[in-house]
Amino acid sequence: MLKLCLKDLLAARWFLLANMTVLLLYALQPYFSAGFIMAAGGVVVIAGLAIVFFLEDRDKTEILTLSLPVKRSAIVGARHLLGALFLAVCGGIVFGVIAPLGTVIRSRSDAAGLSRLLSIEAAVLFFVITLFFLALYLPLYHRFGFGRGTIVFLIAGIALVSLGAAGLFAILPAAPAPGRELGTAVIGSVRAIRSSLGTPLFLLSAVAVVVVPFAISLRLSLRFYARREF
Amino acid sequence: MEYALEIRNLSKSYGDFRLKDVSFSLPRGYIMGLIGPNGAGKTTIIKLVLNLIRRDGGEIRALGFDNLADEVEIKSRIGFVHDTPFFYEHLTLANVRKTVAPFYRDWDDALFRRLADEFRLPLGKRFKKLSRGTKMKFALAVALSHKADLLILDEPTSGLDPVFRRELLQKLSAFIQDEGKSVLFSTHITSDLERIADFITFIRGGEIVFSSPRDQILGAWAVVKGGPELLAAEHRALFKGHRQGAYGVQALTAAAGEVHRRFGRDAVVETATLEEIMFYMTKGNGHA
Repeated sequence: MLKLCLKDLLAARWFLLANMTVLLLYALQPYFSAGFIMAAGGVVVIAGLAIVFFLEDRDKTEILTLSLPVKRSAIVGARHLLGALFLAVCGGIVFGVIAPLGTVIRSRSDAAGLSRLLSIEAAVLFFVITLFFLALYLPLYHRFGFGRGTIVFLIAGIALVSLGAAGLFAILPAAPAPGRELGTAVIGSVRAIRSSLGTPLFLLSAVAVVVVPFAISLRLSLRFYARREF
Repeated sequence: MEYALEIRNLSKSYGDFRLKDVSFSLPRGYIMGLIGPNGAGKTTIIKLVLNLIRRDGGEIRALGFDNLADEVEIKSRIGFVHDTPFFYEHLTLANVRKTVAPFYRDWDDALFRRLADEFRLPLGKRFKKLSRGTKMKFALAVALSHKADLLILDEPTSGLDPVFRRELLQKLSAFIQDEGKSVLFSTHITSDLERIADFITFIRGGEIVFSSPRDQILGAWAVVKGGPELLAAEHRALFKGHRQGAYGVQALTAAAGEVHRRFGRDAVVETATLEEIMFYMTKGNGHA
């Protein structure tokens, strides 16, 4: 699986680097809130995978990959691993670079909002939500291929985000101003959940929430990809 | 006899195409040409061997292994060249090599460099900048560099100039000099196979028409030229297909000796080329 990941990284390295740079440039703009930055991080994770899949689709290298001495299950596993790797890297950029850098270089009021990124709640929220979308994209890609899979994912993703946002506006205790403050309000709510559960149980629940959809995604992807014909 | 490839009762349906109970065997140490018109099922067979598509029934054994149960083992010992080489277009050849080489336990980098020199491959150039011939040479160099025991080539010579085609055929002949190496070579350019193939498998409409040693085919099959009496009811069974023109009848037979005995000097019997066999079996008005 590692060899497959390295192959994809080698093929897409410059495109991925550009993708990450866009995230950095975007996130360091003074007018973006913590929620926007986390969302951008998530988009960059999915975009990273989409770049790899796009190159594979453009040059039809999937036929090459399937002709190499590897099992289909290893190919699917490698793609999930790659998604997790992009998530770790983007998570590192958002929480290890943007958040601390932002609090230093931004104005006092902006920095205060951004400092919410430097919390366990924000990190958990980022990883859970992004992994959920990864878990949605990967089976769709393995079922329909790059073009149709990405379109179906985008439609489903936009629908889910819209529904989620509408739901949050309805249930959050102090309804925030649309857009800008939603992320920080959600982080605040997650903080409340952490306080009521206690940190160890909160983290354990977060791991469970992440592992279950990802495992289902892997299983579905394996099933779909075993049936695909090239 | 040991076989490099054994296919038994292979079947596959998709859309309006059906591969019907395909069976043939390629002994180790030989080159087999897989011929047939476009859409006959040549690429489908190769895709089934490589598990790119799923079979509906039958069995495929390569180098003694089952192609489903021992997929990784088989693929590590098969070199493949697809009709269009599917490598990352924006990478240099040196980097494309890096995306492929780590997957093969027997990858021989010195051999790859030697082949790259021999084929004059510009390793620093991007794949997309290469001509079709150079792309095919690169694919061949990759296929040969992991010391494969079986080479599978799907239409590698189509669209290539005669110089490169001859070069490729020489390379394949040299490849099987190493005992135990075998080649399955799908093409519709039959003249290539007359030069190098030991066995010919002819597929038409998803069915095997014949799979035999080349010399046996070229010895038995003939084009018969004569008058309309060739098509008389009592002789029709001798012919697999015919063309009728203003100057007489030309027909294909797999029983050259019998035709000679029946018609004597009233018909001209000439050894059929693979192209003629393919033509009459595909386009000629068939009888059999």
